[in-house]
Amino acid sequence: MAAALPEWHDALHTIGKRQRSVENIVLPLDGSASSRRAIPIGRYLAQLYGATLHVLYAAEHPFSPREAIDQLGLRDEDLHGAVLDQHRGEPAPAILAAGRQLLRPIIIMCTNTGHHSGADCFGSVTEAVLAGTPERIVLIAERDEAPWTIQRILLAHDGTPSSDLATAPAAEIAQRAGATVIAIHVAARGDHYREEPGSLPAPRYVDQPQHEWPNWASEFMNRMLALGAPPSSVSFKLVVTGGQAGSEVAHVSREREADLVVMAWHGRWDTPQSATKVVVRTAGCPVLLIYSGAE
Amino acid sequence: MDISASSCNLETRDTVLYRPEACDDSGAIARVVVPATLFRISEPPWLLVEEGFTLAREHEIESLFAIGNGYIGNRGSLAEGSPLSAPATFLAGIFEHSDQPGSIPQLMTLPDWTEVRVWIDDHPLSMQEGEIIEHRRILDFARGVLWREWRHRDKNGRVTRLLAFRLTSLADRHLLLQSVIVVAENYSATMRFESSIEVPRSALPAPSRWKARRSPERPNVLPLALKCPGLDIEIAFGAASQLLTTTASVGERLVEMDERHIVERFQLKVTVGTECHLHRLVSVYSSRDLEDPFDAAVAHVNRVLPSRISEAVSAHETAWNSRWQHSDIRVEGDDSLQRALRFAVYHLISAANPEDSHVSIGARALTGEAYKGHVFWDTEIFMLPFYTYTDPACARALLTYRYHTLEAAREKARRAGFAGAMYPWESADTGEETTPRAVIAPSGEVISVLNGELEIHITADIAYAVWQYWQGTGDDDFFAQFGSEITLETARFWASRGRMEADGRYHLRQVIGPDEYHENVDDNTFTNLMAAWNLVRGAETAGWLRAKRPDRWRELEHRLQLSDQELRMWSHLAEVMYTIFDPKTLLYEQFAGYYQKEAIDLKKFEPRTAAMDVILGHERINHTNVVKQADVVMALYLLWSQIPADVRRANFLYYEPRTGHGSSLSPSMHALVAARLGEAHLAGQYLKQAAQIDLGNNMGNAAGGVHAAAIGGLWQAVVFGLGGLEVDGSGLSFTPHLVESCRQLAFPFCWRERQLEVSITHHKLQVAVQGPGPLQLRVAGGAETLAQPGHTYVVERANRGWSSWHRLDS
Repeated sequence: MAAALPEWHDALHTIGKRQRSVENIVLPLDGSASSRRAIPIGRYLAQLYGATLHVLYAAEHPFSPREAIDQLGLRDEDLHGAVLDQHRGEPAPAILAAGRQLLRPIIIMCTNTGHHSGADCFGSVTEAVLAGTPERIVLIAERDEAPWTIQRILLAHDGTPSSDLATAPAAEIAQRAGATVIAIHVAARGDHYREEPGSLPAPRYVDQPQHEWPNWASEFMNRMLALGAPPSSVSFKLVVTGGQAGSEVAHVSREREADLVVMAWHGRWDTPQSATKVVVRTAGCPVLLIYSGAE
Repeated sequence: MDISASSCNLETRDTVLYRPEACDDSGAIARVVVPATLFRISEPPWLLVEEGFTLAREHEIESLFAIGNGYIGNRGSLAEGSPLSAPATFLAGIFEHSDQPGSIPQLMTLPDWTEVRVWIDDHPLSMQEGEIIEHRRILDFARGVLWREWRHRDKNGRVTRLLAFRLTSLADRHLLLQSVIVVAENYSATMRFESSIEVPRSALPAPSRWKARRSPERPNVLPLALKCPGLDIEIAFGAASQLLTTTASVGERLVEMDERHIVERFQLKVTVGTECHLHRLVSVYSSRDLEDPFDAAVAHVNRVLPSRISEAVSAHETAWNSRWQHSDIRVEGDDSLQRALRFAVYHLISAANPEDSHVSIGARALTGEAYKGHVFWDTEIFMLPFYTYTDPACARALLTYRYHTLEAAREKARRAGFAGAMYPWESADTGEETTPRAVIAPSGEVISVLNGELEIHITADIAYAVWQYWQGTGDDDFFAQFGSEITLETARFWASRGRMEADGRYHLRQVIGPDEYHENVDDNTFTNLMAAWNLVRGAETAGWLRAKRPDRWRELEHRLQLSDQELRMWSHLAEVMYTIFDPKTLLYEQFAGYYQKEAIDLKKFEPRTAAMDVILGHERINHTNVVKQADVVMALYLLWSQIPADVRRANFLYYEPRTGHGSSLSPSMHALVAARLGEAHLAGQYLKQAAQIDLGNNMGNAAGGVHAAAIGGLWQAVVFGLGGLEVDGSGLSFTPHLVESCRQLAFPFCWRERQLEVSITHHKLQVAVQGPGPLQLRVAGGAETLAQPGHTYVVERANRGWSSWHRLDS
């Protein structure tokens, strides 16, 4: 009488982990002009979250605080309300350690930090920090030291539940800044969606666009909002384009004059064509990466 | 306790989900209310099982696990809800209307009758809290029952087991049943059940006489009624719940109701091992069905209550068994295809109601709100053959819907400046055009929707379906009463829609073919071939009526003002219909100018999960040669016998690599034609793709409902493609082309009141015949026999073809 039925799954999927708010901003500086580009970002986000700004400086030999400030080319007002954290040794481990030890941190740094080993690489310190897959990091590729505010956030979403991990952080910043969120989905080649249950990429079958698009968009937003669980007061828009994921996100970021791109990433950083790398390089604004675990 | 007795005689080995052992000795509850036969499921090939719980997939699961009976459909939502639950119940033919500019009718979402919540010491039993120890949903195709099993540990360590089923009766289409068993495995507590039905905010409650409808004889039957927005239609529910437990007391029952909702609450003390059984009977009627739906719903529940739910379940299972006997396809060697076919047939059976000829089947049937319940060519071309050859009464009802909406089609033609009947691309309850005029794509682009004006092939598609039904069933009464008028009026439309041009040919300009990537094209091959076919059949219809039903002919001739001259014109226009055919290449050009489009190599875009118009953009795709879906290939299939074999092959091989399959309607038709052409590898690939459109998807395709045309297409791909079955006025012809993965294919088939059982292997074809008279059987266009009812006929593969037929019992 006991006809076999399939076994229970080993684990039930846990979805909708909410990113906690931010209490500490880790701002690594090395004295270079490029690293100082991150200062307005760090100060703004610290103010936005009511978080403590930690200026992190790692060197082989410790300096007095005044000497360190001079080495970093900072003005006193740059440090107002901030903590200067000095570390001995290599910068990347120190940055990652701060990211682990401080409560609810975001690391904010320039992509050019450290030595350059090739045209396709970021600075060696940036690369080493990324290899350590911090939970949240803001990367700044191109900008001057002008003040920074957030009015438009571009949320890059590939339709996987992993991407939903970026929804709440994007929404929280938007709510605090009074900004809007534009969710962008790029219909790209690839088949990886099949591997993650609950994925909703752009539809394979658009039987009748007049019905399929409204339904799909509604489903996409329903899932994103239900799983990302953002504050309800934030305004979301959805944009879908086709093409290469990285370059399309960057293109829309520039076109829509986004102030911040937020996206989940799996910690993969190994090829110049990596969509995340393309976005960070060419989006024209800082990019907040939310680590969603390895693929 | 008889747990082997089965009302569902499908040779299944049943699994008992629940045995009421704890109730055996204490009696009344188990023996009377919970017979073990209620808690059986069929063996695995008859089941769709979703293990665990992935919140993101909830809308897909709700669609795939939907239940229905053609009158009512219900999505497989969790009874207690979740952040992504979208419970919905639909009644066929009940569409909301709005006065808002640009609004279009949409299938109304009725109150959720399945909501049952459980509290343990005031803590809700919820998937969102505590630990899900086990969870599965099971759709039993054979019995048409949705099951749920759930073991849950709350944050205090209390383990609760829940077992539930629900069904929409196929034997009594207004009756809905739900049963929930909850077991307190390791605790004592106060348990509370709450079942409710609530009128949605978008709807208005019905007239206030509702309170009086609560019967004094059966005070437990609670009524609820509401009005369909924008229409003078009322829908009424009658509901009754019973809670029974393995303890002596059923505790306290509270009823709360007003015009907008009815709630029943049961509260009781449970101890370790206590089982609580909540049974609900719900009846639904609308004023479409009868004048007083309130009385009907309450009286209905009153009638069913005394016999308990077991009899209702038994009748339901018997009805499903009967339908499966006439429609189950058995595939040996390919479990995935087998399951996909059962899934397809299950949802097709669930979608149609032979008792209502004023409704048809929407693109997502009654499984979801996507496509607003609108009816497309999907029904006639993709789904109808299943009904014609397994349940002709359903097919007849579906086609009669087109007869009842014929006046609206005439009006549409008149408004557009044409004669005859021009069927809408999308229709709802009235038969008026309901295609939206524009859509805002997620790119922000506003896209004009021209299908309502230009995708006119649907008019010929409907005539084609009428004719196929008539040929397949021999239902002359239907054809004389309903089908002939459709055929005549659609032929008349085609004679007015085109233009005789200087080349002496009849052109149909500014149309959209099935390939909707190319809009506003001239002389689409599919449209022109189908229009010509329709014109010829129009003239033949007049001839048949004259000869066979002269009274009806005279009535139609007079009312429609048909003349011999007009009928001759139809034949002439069919002869001079322009098609772009090159006798050297044997190719049809899909439309004028197709060959000048930018060539796209689709292989360079693989693998992909998005449609090509999404990747290339709506504007660009129009300038490429990418074909959305079977277009010329579709014509090859529908007009198979009138297109030479070398032309069929040449066109399939040309268009297949240029087709992006951006529609769920496409893979099945390619599987079918590939199989018929002996392209076994391609057929296998497309068959797999067609089978996975709903079931294989992890990409949300089915969130808005199952793809009803795709599953109808899958049935056709197997029967007419792999089975190679062709039907004409004298009988059946087979050219089997089993794919490699399939060792044996067997299916029932109904042709002109004969019931056939077809069995095909790579070496043998066998047909058992029952029914009123003989029919011709042919194989691979060669050997034929006049098959007599009560006998089984066999042919076997010979060296280069097939042997002669022989009777098995001779």
